[in-house]
Amino acid sequence: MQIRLKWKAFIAAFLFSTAPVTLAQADPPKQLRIAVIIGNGPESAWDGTFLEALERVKKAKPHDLTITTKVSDPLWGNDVESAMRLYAQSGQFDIIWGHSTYSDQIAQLKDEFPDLMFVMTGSGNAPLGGNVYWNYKRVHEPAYLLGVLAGHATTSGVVGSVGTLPADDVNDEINAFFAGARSVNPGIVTKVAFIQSWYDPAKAAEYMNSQIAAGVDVMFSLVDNFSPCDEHKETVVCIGNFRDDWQRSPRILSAPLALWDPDIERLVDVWYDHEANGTPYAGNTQMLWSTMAEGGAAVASFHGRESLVPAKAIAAFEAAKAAYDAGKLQIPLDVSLPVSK
Amino acid sequence: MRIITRSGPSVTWSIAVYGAAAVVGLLMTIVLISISGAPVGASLVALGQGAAGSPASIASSVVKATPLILTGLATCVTYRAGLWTVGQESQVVAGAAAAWQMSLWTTGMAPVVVIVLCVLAALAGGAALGALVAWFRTRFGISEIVSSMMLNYIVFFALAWLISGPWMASGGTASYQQTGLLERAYWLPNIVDVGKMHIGVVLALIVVIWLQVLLKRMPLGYEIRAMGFNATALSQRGVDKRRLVLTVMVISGVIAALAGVGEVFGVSHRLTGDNLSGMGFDGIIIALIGGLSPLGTLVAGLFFGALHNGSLFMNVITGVPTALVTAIQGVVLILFLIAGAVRRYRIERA
Amino acid sequence: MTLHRPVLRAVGLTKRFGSVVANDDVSLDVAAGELHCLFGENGAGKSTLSAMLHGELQPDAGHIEVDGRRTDFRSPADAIAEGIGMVHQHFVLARALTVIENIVAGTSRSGWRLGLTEARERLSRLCGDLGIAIELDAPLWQLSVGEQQWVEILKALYLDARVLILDEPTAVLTPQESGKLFGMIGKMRDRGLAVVIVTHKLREVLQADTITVLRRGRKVGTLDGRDATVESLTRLMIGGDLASSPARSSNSPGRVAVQATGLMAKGSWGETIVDDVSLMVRSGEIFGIAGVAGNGQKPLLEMLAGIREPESGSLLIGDRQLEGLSAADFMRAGVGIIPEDRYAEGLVGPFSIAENIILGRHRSKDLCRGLFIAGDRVVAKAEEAMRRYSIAAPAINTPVSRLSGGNAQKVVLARELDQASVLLLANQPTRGLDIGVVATVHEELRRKRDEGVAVILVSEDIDDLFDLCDRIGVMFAGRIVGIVSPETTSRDIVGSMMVGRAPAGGATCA
Repeated sequence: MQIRLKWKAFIAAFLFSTAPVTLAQADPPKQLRIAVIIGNGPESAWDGTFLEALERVKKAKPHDLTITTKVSDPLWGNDVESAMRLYAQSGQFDIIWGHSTYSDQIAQLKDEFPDLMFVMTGSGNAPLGGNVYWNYKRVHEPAYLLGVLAGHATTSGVVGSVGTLPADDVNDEINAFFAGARSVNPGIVTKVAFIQSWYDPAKAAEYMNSQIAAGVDVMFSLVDNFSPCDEHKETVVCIGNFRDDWQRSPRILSAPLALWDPDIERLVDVWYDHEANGTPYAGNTQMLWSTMAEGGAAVASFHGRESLVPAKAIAAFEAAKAAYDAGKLQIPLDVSLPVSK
Repeated sequence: MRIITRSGPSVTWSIAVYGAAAVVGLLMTIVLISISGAPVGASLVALGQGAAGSPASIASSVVKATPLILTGLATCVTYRAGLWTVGQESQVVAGAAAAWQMSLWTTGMAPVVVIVLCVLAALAGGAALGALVAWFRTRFGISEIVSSMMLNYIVFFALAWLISGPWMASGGTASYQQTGLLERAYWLPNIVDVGKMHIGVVLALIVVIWLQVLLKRMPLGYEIRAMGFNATALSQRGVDKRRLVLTVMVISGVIAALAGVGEVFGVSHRLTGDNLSGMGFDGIIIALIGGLSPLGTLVAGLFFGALHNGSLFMNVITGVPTALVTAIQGVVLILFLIAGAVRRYRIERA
Repeated sequence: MTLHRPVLRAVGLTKRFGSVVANDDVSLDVAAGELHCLFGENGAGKSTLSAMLHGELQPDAGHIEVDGRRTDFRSPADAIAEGIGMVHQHFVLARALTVIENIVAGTSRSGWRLGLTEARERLSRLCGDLGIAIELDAPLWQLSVGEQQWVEILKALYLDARVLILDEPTAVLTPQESGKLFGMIGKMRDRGLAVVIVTHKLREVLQADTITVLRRGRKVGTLDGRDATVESLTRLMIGGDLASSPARSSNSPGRVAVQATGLMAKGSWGETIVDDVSLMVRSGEIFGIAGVAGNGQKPLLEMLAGIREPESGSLLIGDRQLEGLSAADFMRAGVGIIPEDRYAEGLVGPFSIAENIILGRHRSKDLCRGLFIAGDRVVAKAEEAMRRYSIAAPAINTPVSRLSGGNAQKVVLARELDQASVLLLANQPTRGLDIGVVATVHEELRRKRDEGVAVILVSEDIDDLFDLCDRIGVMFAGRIVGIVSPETTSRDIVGSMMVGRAPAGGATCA
């Protein structure tokens, strides 16, 4: 027991040497300590956009909280459980945010650490409820608006998309992009392919090039590679995904953006309410995400590249966006497996 | 001073050489940690704690080591026979996938029956894939390196299709490339109630001992070793090489498949696209470090299981990047291969 | 006078490999215009000595003088610069290049250009002097083995060699080619060249002017060729007398042990390599197969051992039809084989003597106990074999790759003689072995014959065949072109049959 206690103190000393050691916390809480476990790394769009949002929220100091964070290296499988257990056992964290498909691991820990709040994100998770919150991210609304643009922009009449893996929160944006294009151009041809990996730029380039060879001239790329767009400067316009990658290629016009700020703020509110008012945790068992109207998604700036596409395409996009903002355009959610048509 | 080939192995010299390799490995690990900017002393304490500092850590290390040991053993048996397959990766998946299919067929039966049938199905799956490589080689003369490498891709994509199609989790969760969660009753039982010390750990140990005895004492092991050194002489002495290739590949498939079923039914409890990836290739490294001997592979596997878990602790506690474990693994591999070569020489004063 | 001026002189050469002393204080003088023979058993140190003489190895002690000047060869290139040329047993030639290209390429005298015109004149002159005719523009692969050797010799002479070292030059030649080679050597000698040949064939040694005999790394004597006799040489070489052995069998052959009919085999490109071979060998008989290597002897023996499946033909061994069955079935029928290349086909190099002794019998009941190989029984068997065949090795667990050629061959003998209860196949069983082991091998073959086993012996050494065999079949181009009795046929006739010429008097079918 002696050794165990020392070991805990040791973990604590190193885990959070920058934060003031907290004693019994008086209401209302002044600080919030979040341990983040990511699956891919800050260079991936999924993790990168989240970590940026987290920094913005820290600066905004909701409830006047001092938020401190510790981010792990990319972890997967059983290691996630070990790492979460270490964070939990240290007693140095209030929220353990697993930013991927970690419900199996969280399920092993949630009852052992009932006072901790666990968060998991994205598809592939099983709802757990209680002290486990499940945050979703959908960017299908901006994807639809960019589809409207693409429907007007294409001269070949063929638009394409290369996706990672056909997951629920990948399918939604590809379907929405195609639906937007079809809404203005019913005869349009859509091409879709999945590289069957979350990250494989070489394979991504192959798939994109073959779509371009098949006539695609507006490409919605979810696979983090834009070199095929550069190689077909005269013909192809690319739409990025999740983050604003406009500096990576002059052929990128825009992208549906993932903004995690409202999600983080909402969950911080939940935690604050629990800490300050004793409201019990009641983790959601249904998918929960912030809409574009709520600030959970956006269309990336064109960065002055409107001339990449005909003016009528920009105009149609602006009109659709105005309709959405005014609440007059309902964008449908379709998570079925996208197919080429 | 001159360097001379030894006429036979010397135990003390071997211990000295491998001991020196371990010390140099530790020193280089310390250098790597200090380069990463983390506190060296605390990182080493964390490393030790994660590797074997508590019953839970030991369990984690052993559980991490188990599939590496098994894929390592699958490598031992083929490489000793002179069959240079890289198909352990797909054999793991084939075993896990066959077991999963069996679990779907047997849902509702008594847990013991289901688990036994699933393990048997895994063995059959791994064996089938091994047999396929053997058949390509003996029937068409296709190098096992090429066919096993290609089969890795085929199996990978087949798995991608299975988990995003027929086996995709349905209901309760959104569409995602994984199966549903295995019913708790069908999980491989734990041997001790610490972490995930499932029964596959014991199976791995049994396979280590069996393979060690097989290679050292049994006619089949004798043939395996002989084929690795001189297949021509062996087949001219009346041993059917084709059958031997088949036998070796089936044994390797069966052993690797145990890793797959242990991992899915004992640790992750569902089949996903990535929780099995890399095990086969890690096994090759483990087996090479272990000198292609089953006992050596056991030691190397436990070492790297502990190193993995220890480095996780280092990452979480002192912020040492987990990528370091890959670097350490590479350093240790090179050091041990050097040690294996140096072991055969002695230095003499002229 | 000139005959006795040494052009090449070795003084106290010593070379060690680890604890093994390969050459110990060896001195010798090679005079211009003499044929000097390095003679000794395998492992006596001949190869090491010749390697030092041409710069491939550097001596640990002693030195080499050329024309009385002390030299320090760091590489064969240094030796060549001093006029010392070497023709290896295994030729170092590019098969795709022509004869002249092989000779000129890589000789620095040509610089970046090959300068073939000048070379052609010199080579034509050389060929004329040596009395050989060779097409300089023929690609090398078209040449016979003997002609390839000429190229090697021409290459050395083209580089102005004054001393030419030939390592086992007749090992790969037919008797006719060997005769021609010695004719060339005679002409070179007349032109004042010193020729050193490394050999263990007595017949060749006796043609030398000077003979240096090596035994166990030491020089045991230098003889004048005129004074040397077979007996004196043998005594020097092995340090004692050999028991002369009875020639052929006295007992009459028994029942038919092997009856092969119409055996055919095809090579990897579909070419016929054994063409309709039929033969019958009785128990208690040694049947020899003469022929230049590569005329179908090896595939024929492989078919007889069940290692290679015949395209067609039937095969009766003992009382069993065996065609189409596996090597294991042949072994059960009592067939043993001493393969041509013991390390490639007969032994597992890293395995111990004991493990090699049981190769092929590792599943037999008397060596196993339950599921396991019974270590004690294997040890007993191996120890018995080591005693019986006096295999010189530290222990039964010594890897055979560490044994000398002779001892390794004894391991094969121990296993296969035990195996062969009906038929023993031996493909060049004495190749590369020293005379002591050769005698053992021959003695064992005779003993096997006397036990009533049929023995088929493939050899390129006609002397051996004539000493041992009751009948000799000659193979040429995949066929048995004749079966002769050594008692009624001359060696020259067999030699001509080996190169495809019909014997003058017609083969007597014995």
